Amino acid sequence: MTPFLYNIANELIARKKPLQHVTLVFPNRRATLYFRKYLTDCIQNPVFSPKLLTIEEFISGFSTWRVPDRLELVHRLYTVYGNEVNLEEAFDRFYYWGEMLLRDFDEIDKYLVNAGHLFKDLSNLKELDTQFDYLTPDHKEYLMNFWGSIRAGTSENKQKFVEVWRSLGTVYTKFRSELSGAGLAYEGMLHRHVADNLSLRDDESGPGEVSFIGFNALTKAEEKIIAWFVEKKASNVYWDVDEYYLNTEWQEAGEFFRKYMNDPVFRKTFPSDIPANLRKEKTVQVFGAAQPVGQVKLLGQVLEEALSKGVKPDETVVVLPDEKVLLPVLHSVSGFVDSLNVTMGFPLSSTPLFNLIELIMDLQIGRRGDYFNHRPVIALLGHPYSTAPDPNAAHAKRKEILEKNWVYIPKNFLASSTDLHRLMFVDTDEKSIIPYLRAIILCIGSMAEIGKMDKEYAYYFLKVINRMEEVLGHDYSSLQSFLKLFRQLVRFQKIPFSGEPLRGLQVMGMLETRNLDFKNVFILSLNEGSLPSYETKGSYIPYSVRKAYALPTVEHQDAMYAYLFYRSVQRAQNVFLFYNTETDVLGQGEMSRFLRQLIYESGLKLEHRILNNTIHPHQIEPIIIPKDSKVLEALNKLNEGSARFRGISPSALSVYLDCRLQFYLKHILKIREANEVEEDLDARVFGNLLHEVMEKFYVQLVDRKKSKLVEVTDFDHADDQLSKLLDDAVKQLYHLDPGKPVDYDGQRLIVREIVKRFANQIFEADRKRAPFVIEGTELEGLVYTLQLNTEPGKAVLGGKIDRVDRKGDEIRIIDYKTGMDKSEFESIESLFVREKKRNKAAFQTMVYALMYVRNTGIGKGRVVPGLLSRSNLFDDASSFGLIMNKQIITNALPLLPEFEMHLKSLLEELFGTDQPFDQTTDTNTCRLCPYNRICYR
Amino acid sequence: MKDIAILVRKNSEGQRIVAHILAYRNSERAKPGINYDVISNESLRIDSAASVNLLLAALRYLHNPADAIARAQLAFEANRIHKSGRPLAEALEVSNQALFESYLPDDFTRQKTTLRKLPLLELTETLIQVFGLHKIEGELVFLQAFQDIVLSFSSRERNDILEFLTWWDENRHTEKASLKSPGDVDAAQILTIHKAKGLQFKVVLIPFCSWELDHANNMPALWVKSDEDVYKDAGYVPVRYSSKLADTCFSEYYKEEFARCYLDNLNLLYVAFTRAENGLLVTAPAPKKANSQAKSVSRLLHKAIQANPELMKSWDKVNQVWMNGELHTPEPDQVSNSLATVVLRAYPVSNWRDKLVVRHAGTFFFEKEKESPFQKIEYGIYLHAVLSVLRYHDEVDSGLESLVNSGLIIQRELDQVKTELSKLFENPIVSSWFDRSWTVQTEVSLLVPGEGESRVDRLMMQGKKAVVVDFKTGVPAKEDQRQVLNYMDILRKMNFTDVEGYLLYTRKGEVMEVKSGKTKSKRKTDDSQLDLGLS
Repeated sequence: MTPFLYNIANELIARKKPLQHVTLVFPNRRATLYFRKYLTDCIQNPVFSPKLLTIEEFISGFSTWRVPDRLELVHRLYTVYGNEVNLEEAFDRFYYWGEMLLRDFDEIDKYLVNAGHLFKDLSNLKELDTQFDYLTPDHKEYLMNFWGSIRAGTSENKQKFVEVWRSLGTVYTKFRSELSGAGLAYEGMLHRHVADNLSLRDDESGPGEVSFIGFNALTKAEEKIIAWFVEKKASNVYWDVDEYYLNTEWQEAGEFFRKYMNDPVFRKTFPSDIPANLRKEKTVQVFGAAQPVGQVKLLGQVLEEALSKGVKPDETVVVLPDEKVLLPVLHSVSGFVDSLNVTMGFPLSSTPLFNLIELIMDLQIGRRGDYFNHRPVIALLGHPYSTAPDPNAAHAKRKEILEKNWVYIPKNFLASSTDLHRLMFVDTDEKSIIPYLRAIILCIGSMAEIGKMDKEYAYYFLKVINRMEEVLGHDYSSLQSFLKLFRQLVRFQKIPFSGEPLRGLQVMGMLETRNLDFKNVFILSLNEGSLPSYETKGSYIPYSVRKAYALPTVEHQDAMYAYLFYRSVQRAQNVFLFYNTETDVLGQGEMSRFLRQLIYESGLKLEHRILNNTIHPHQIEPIIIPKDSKVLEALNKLNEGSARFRGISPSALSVYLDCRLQFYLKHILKIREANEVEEDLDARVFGNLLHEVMEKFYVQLVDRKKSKLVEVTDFDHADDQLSKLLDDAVKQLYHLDPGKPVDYDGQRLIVREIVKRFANQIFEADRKRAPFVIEGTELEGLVYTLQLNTEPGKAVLGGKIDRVDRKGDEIRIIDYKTGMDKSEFESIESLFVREKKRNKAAFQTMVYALMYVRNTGIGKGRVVPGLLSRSNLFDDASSFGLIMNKQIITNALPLLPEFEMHLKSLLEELFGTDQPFDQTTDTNTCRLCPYNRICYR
Repeated sequence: MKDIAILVRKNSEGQRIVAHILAYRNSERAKPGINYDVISNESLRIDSAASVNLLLAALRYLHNPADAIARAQLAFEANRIHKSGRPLAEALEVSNQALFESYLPDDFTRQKTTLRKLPLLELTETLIQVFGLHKIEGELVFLQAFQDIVLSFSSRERNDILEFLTWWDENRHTEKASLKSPGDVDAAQILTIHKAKGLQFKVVLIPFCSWELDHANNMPALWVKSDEDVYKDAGYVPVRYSSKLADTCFSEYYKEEFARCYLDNLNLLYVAFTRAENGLLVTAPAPKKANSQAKSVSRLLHKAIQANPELMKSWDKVNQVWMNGELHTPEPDQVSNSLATVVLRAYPVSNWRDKLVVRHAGTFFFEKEKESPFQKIEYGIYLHAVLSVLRYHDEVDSGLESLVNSGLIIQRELDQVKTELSKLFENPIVSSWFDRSWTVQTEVSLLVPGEGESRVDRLMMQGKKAVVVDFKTGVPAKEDQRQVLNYMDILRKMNFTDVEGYLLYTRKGEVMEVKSGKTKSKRKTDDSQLDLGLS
């Protein structure tokens, strides 16, 4: 079947008349490209091309008005609107509504609606009968219903609506006169103006012979203009129709054509025999897949098969009613064709430069004076553009920030090393944001280290920034307001793809298929919402009012999409249709009604299949690390001392008891969790602060008194000391300026209070206990070598005891616990049990007791290990000490041999070769394990 | 199979059933020829797939190359999925960069920086390709599902690796990260009772029919208020739902919630029991004590049967089964039809950027920027654009205006451009082109048979005389002359007898006439070559 446009081109050439004075008008640009190609296929010698115009170009040729871009129009509208209704909103907030209003005005004009009447407050219904005699009774009914409901209600929203509504008529008039005064117009305004003034140009030389090709769903203005040319200039109109939908009343695809066929002017432009291609034999295959990516990948496979059977890419189109799948489609099909052409562009918002600008805005919005928040800073330092000129510098900065745990980073630290960093890490505000961003974009665009594509992004962003400056100057109410507007402007911007436009596989949106015919047609996303699209752009004009004034409504849009769908397949020979079998959570997005119609009504033979790949379950193999010589070597290193590591700590043993594999990863391979700036004061930070404060307090006390004896009076000024110690600890933790007071806010404030209360509670207990002797705080470097019966013969334990104190013959081994730790446990054996509840705190304190006793060689007296924790500090009833089998341990000495025995066999297992490092079977342990992803848990 | 539905109370139960059936199918106990296919939109977790874990590890690594856990996971998964034969454990030792990279494809190591610049979806598509995941058939379903998540995330949220990873960690255990299957295939459906509302199936299976009637875990918070002294001024406060509340001043709230919860759970039982057309199979644990309270639906069912003599007639005490009616094998015409299926053999993925590029206007722009650092803008560049819309001297202002509107020139640069333009007009040849005595067409489109369109920047005509001008932004090149000669040739074929051709280099305002005689021979060789090629 020859394409629609080819037939017309052929007809034109066959006339053998010069073409340069012929004007052909098409619905879109792509149609003109194909038409021109068909013309060159039909000619023998070079010729001047006829004028091939889109309808917009054609119409604007009759006017001297210029149509500015949307930003400028909305901004002008903002000014007019602001003067009319005392607007308090900033421009960025107005923009969305402004766009909507502009669209409404545009439609009102394109559909030649009397705006004065439309925007009239008709809540007083009497006028309806008298003034609006041009409306049909049906249309009046719509208006009556609408205004009736408005009148009936008194809600605030309805009041507000009426208020805005009343002003819109004036805004409309003033906006138009303001624009025309400046020689400007929005598109609808221009169209209306041309449509209304056509008669004046009746005798002018004008555009010569004009034909209109492939239109449907014309606006009233377009209709009027085309009709004028048909009547006065005997213009041809070529309709691209098929009897299938034209002659069947219920086929919405033919709705507009049926109307035009009844129009006294247009009637004669329809051919006597209407083409009947749609129901001619063709192969139609329908494919269902769950979710978009399945469709896209199946498309790749089906296309590959078709190509291998001789289908030519040049005769093939892939239509994407849902543009979101463009990138997956490109990845899916590009391997099977040599070249492809895409009418849609690459979204500016998917570029790394957009990410960078967003981060920069985060940086500036979150800035406090000369300090930047760590989040955007870390992200920016890792951004490909930021690292490009000097990766090491950026990396070193990032590392330093993490090491110093800098929540807020001074700008001077950052604004060095590369040009880009010097430009980025300075403070800016809403007044200087434009030059600030422009300098950054220019700097990136001129970098030697980036690719062509990156320069392209920079170029487009520069254009956006320039436009913003041109229209709005530097007047933004805040950085947020700038960002909001910037985002709105970037959202719909696309960078065009380049490629030989008519060569290779064609990929296009639904609207671009107008007038084009391909032998092989693939259409994706045939679901409600994509085709027909549910995208309603929003409007100030309610449905009923639109209906009354014959402005386009949802039904209008559905009919338009129906036509696009049927038209795109009517001349094809091989049709491949894809849809998503799954509806969304709201049950929306089922198979497109057009596809259902084709299946059930058309009588075409279809093959319908569903994508279903069987699911092969994975046997998740257990991870077992056998103790080969390499592992054993690493294990033995645990016994060797080093600057940072002295012996095996009780917490490491706890990890080993939890999960042997976790121990292996953490303590043998030393795979550490990634450093992050700790901003949140989580439980760990809280614990660290308390430990720090307690240690310092007693160290300073002992220092001051030159004695380890603690007395009641030592706590007289504890509160003041506490505040200072806490300040110091916080400064140290966050690398704050030691000279400045600490700024407690939000979470820090809460944590300060909790630490203080905790510490005060300990002081209170200590004061009651005084006098006593501090034997040591934060005892580091304490090691104990346990003799093993197996290789390597020993195990070195190490750790840090929070505090040891003595009163009389009672020595307390103390661990501060800020969490939920309990003192109770069942038996010594229970401290070594795996995969059941185990008291880790008790285990730890018992290890400390053992270490202390073995180091000091104490043989008599009492050794009492215990916790100073939430449960015994804040509960009067409970006292210090671990509780075994409901009995408080008043002396741990007799228990140590049993404990040591268990510990020994545990360590013998650890160092022995029999037991490999394997995964725990208790998946509860895995929930908080940093390695759970490796184990799939 | 399509007529069977398995209803569960919670997704986790569904996950257990799916895992069990899939394992059963692959075990020795599976009967040959029996279809064990199940589908579920909630019960199959995507992150049980090695390929997905590999992608996630790669994303984590790209986000922070110093993240040791991500490195370990990446090397480990790459090793696992490609079965390199090296011991799995070895891959976990990743502190050595060279050793670490030996587990990864070269393409990945080489492209690390470029990869980071890709938008999220393209990044994952490329990673699939680079790691060769697209050829592993068993992984395709999971890759698809994962990419669907990435696609929907990136069209909704910020296109950023960290944002995605954060989202993933928060949602990986939820329905959002589970596999979606098409409905129209011959497989038993597993779905929650909540999702089954309003649906019906020939046969319904309800395992785990033993949920608690009261809240079992995740006790909700109740917002309560009391007039008792202690709480009088507190207004509404949240308290954890618990039976202890029954003895407090908040007992009213407790009772209300208790009743509501019972009712909800009974309703759920009703929904579950009323989905079946032909058969209903329910399994539940038998109560341990005969007369325990009916705190769960299973005990409630048990009690209900025991208490009703009529129902007890059908009670099989030994097997603890209550049965009524018979389960028939359905006649073939009673079985629902399923559509034919098609299988995806590989996950097609390739780099489109080789085939298609975004338009390059920026490179040139910034090249020029580099030559003359930022502030000073070279105005010659704009002349090309101005000249391509300008026909006559009197159209200068409107032509410039349109350039401002397109955002290419800023208003304050306008004067400078104007100056450059008038400098150009000082050349009498150039100036004469803009005279009204010519019929002028700019950006003229000439159609050449078989070759397509030739676009001439500027064409001036008087009778049989034609002058063609081409504007160039670059430095003079041979190629430019050949192009103009070609235009002249076309014009002659169009019956213009007097044809002149010029080149105008806008950066320096240099004009060059192109003479056909000098290079005529060259054209001829071109033509003959063309002929040779064709014959």
